[in-house]
Amino acid sequence: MDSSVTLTALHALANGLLVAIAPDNLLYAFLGCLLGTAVGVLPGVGPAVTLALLLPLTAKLEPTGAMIMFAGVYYGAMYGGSTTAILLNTPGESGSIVTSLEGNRMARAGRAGPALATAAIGSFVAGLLATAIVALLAPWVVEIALLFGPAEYFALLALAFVTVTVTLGKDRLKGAGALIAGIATGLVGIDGQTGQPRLAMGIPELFDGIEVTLIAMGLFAIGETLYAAVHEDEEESILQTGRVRMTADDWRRSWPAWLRGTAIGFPFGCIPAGGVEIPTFLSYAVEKRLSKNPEAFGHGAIEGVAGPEAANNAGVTAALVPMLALGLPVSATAAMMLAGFQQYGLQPGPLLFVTQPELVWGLIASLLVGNIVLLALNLPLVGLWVRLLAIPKRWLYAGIVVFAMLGTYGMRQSAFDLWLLLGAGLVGYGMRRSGWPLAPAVIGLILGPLAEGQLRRALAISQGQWSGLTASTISASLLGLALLIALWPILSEWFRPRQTAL
Amino acid sequence: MSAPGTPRALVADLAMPIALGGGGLFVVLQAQGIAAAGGYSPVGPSFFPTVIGALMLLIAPLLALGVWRAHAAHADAALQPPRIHALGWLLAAVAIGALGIERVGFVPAMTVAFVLAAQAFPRQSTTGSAATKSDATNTNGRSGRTLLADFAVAIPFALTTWFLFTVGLGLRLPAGWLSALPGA
Repeated sequence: MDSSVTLTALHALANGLLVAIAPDNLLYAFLGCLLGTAVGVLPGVGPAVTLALLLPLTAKLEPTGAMIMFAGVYYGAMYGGSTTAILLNTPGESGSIVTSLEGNRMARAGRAGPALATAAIGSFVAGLLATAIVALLAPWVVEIALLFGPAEYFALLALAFVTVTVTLGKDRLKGAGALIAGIATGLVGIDGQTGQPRLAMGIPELFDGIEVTLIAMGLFAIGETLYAAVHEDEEESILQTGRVRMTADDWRRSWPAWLRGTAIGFPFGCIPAGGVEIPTFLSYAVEKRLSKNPEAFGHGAIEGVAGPEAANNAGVTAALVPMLALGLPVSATAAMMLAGFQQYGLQPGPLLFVTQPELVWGLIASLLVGNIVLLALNLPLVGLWVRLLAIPKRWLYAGIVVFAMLGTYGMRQSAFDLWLLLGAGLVGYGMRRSGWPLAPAVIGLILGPLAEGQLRRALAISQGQWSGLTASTISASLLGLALLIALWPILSEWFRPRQTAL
Repeated sequence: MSAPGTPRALVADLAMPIALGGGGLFVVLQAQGIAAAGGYSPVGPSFFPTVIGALMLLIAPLLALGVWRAHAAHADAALQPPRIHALGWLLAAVAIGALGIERVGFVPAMTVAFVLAAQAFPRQSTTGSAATKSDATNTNGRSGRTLLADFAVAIPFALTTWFLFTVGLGLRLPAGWLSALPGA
């Protein structure tokens, strides 16, 4: 295609950068990073929850400032998650599971400082490269997305549902249960096309539907607190970081791992529901294979932190491509970002680039700035975050409970919502206890109404003919792919000699 | 009390499939009550809920079957005894928040909620053994001091949060009793 698209994109990005480095916006970025890290570093609070908890913070700012602060919170939350993975061996989200493998080993060996540093710089490198690629790639994806009508969108959403069920969590059936329950929750409220209340039982507070952030806070923050209180023991924490600086050898071993991790993480993030589990594990495996002394893995190899951490950040940043261009969140963190955009009155999708280009490019520029601010802030403050972990668990979780209530109440000043929060928390506890993945529920809640709307629009266009859903090549092949992935476990059983059943 | 493998644990593990099935039944029944909108589209406001409810009803028994099999397979999976009373403290904390926030205001309600939530977690036991059981009945000096310390943290925490969000960020949180203070 022509180069003018790229040029326009670069021009728009430069404008966005000019907006983002205005002094008050820099201050918002700084504040966002600080708070995002402070909350994200708390055990049991992953990036998605941090975003949910801090979303009300940005509610009263004008959209540009809010988004810049939000970007800061997002990077802070991501980094905070890695910090707990390394220091406490409690990864807050699936993307940092691999980080904790070698990172926690390093911390136990008194090398927490270099582990945190290589995670921070690796995330920075990956975030910078990935954001740049997003900026270059997004306009092209938008051109494809503009070809999408309701039928194609519905097919894409169906594909996303299937991949979410398959990739998030170990048990497909539990993933499907979580997804469907999320979609059902999304049905509550006034039907947008006919104005009829559904599943609201005549309760006026339910006519507006149930807020995504409320459910996320209930499932993640309250559910996690309940689970920790009932099931977890006191865990030993590692409070001495030792030397913070990386040695020359650390640098030499880290930088190729950062670049490889970025290259592995990005493509997975672009695929709807590609997730970050696969690329982080893949990056770990690659680093282990390429290492001159693979026997160091399992005993605190710095490459094993640097690579997966970069892959994680690149993957999550790359998830912005499907999210901005198609309005499809592919992870719990992306789902919370989408909830944030909706709060600022932005509905991501291809038209966003056409109707509000300055906001989109402002966001991408804020991500670049947030990334830099994070590095500047966190390398010197590692010691402070470590000390935050010394807060007794009872006060920490009590604070999380209060914060979840504050965030819920702050959204629409309704005490009724706090009862919903209580219910969602109980469900979240039950899900965790039974090993159900939480992310599909949140994604179902967000995408369910979209899928229904597109389906009904598509059928209205085809005058009620179901064949209209498969009329175009794009929608037919997307639906076919979804069906194939959904049936894959059964198909592969058929074509393979039966193994020992569990 | 409810060691894994016992009937009680089985019932607890079946809670999620049962909840999903119950939810599915609710969704399907409710969907039938939604009046169909006129028009040529076969998909009115009740179609999607019916499909989703049906899927929930379909998946729930499959999940229940999985739970049943897991229990039959290894009845002695080692879990530590859960501190189930912690659930009560935390649910009480959120309930107090919901009841109190508009009646007495954010700060008093959240102070009490914070203290209640803290009770769900074991005290930092300096001696090691003592403080595990009978949290509620234990009224000796140490637990009194812990409660005092909880309040000492909760009050400034609630106050700071309130000021930060209302004064600093313009969020509307009920002042309640605070509005009686001069200048508030």
